[in-house]
Amino acid sequence: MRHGIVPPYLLSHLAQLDRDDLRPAAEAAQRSLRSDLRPRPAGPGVLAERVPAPVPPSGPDRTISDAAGAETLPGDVVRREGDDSTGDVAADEAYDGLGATYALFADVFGRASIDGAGLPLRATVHYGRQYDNAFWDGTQMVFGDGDGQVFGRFTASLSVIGHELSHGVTQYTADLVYAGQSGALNESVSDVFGALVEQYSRGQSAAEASWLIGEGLFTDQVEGRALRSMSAPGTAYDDDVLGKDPQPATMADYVDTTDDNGGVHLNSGIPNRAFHLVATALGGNAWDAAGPIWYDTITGDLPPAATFSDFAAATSAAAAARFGRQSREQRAVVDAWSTVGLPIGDTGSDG
Amino acid sequence: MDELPFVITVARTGGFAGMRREWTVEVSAPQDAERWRPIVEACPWDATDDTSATPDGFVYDLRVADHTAVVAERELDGPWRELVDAVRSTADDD
Repeated sequence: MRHGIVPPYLLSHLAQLDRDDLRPAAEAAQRSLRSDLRPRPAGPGVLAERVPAPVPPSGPDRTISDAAGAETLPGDVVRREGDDSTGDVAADEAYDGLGATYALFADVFGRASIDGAGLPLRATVHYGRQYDNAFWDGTQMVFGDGDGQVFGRFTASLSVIGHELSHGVTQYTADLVYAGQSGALNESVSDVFGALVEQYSRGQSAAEASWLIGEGLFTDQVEGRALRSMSAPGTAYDDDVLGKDPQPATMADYVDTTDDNGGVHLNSGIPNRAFHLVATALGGNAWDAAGPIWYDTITGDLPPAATFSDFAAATSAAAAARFGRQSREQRAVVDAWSTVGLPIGDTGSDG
Repeated sequence: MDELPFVITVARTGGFAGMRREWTVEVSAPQDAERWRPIVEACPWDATDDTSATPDGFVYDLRVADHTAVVAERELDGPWRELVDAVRSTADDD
């Protein structure tokens, strides 16, 4: 998240919180408050200004740029909307991946691009040298080529492209603070919608899908299928050099750490698995019922510093609102969170 | 850093993969210390409280003697970048 996305009054509130489970969010808010003294980069402003009026989806407006090994954004434009393939595999994968991501949000959720108002989609490929990452910088997606030993190019996995763009959707909706539990929820939401982009694009049902995030990113030298497994967190890789996938699958194994903004890429395994459990319990396509419940949750009134418990309760309320109290959809949601160690107190509540 | 040896540690966490990588340099020879001290002292160690996170961005945890700092990749420019690049290239060469 960029500076200034969380309103200052909310940051002040977060900064004063004195709960252990919210400490990373409080610390992030304190840092963000201090940073408000600095000039703000361009990008969405405060809450009231940052959500433009929604429009109906009318097709993507994509621009792919090439940083040519530099760490400067955006680089030179190589492909605009409607242009022919460039012949550069990373640029073309990014273009197609942006299209697939746009299609999921437009077709399934009626959302026009990441802001709901037709925001142009921008991505830069060939960022840095041997650069082992992909990220969302608050305004665009950025993809490295990988080091060639552990990681290949980051555009190779559609779930990664969907993941990065979904950070943009979260920024314009729930705006989950990127630290501690709310940060792990931010990560999980990106994995959920990244997986949905891939499944929808391939026409795979919940039972057929791999539920892997970042499949195809590792080189042949790594013992692993992907970066993360939503169906079985902690099992995506087990390699002599990299070690074993450290993601927890239940709250009993929640990881307390100051690394990685409070373990946002580790603890996301817990809500990831909850989504997988809901989707497979309901059967059919994950984007038919489980996806809309999660989408309603992030576009509802979830607080930016939401805990796992807050999020679990919000998904139950969203399921009740969409499918009815005690519907099989709501019961699947409640059962899933209970399985991962987050029982929801009042299952009849609709929020 | 007045006493030898001292150790410079760069730990990189976060990123899409959420994997931790660490590079260290142990400075024990006086001539090496003369090379490293200006690189370390050029960094604004006391002014690094802005690490508001970029989703999937790397986070750098830097330690030298009694100096510590957490620097988001987006803030990693100027002397921070020089320090990290110097430690990584030296450690990778070992």
